[in-house]
Amino acid sequence: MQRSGSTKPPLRRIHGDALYEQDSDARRSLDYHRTRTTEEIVESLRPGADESLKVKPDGRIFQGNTRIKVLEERGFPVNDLPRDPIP
Amino acid sequence: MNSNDAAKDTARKLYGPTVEYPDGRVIPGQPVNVEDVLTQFEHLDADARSAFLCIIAHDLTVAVRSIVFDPPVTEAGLERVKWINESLHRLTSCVNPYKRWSAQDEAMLIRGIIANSFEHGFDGWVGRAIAAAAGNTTRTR
Repeated sequence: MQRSGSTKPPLRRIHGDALYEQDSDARRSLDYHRTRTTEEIVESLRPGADESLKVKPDGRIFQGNTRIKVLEERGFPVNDLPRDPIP
Repeated sequence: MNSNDAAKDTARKLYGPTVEYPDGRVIPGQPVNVEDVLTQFEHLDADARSAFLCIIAHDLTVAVRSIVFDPPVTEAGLERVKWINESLHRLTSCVNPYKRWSAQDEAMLIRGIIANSFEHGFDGWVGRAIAAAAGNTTRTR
């Protein structure tokens, strides 16, 4: 994992890894996102995108969990991504 | 709520998403020009209008997730969820391809959702959702 210079709380997925073993829909989603390029996923998380990275002030991810998981698997510095903060 | 109330409430300001950058910069959400957005919406084809409405609905599911994820949920939170669910109920009905509404009726539905969002305190979510829907449908087709 690359180091991040982010001043924000680290991202935390609210969907644990176990979900992808227990839930076939979640697994299919994970399999799908693993077929996408890193650039495509990063673009899809951009604030203003139709399914942007939505994050609570404490870093918990309320949208983008599976895509962030895939980026983490690839060693992408996810904490450097811009966030759409939610209350 | 009648159509005059709905029209009046769209004159109140909705805002698009705030953006937080990792270096600490924060770009506040920009005002959404609802009238422009709805005018463009009414000129979209049925598929693009469905995409627009689905983006709003999907964003509102995130709103519910955010409200209920950390129990206990306050009475105000539950009331907000009730009204968000009403919005989802209407949105998911009108995107059914076997029961399509006219573009004008769908625009009125959005106006009603906006009005309810101001009344029940989820206008931040609706502004964010409409900005995303407009940015990903009306400008690219």
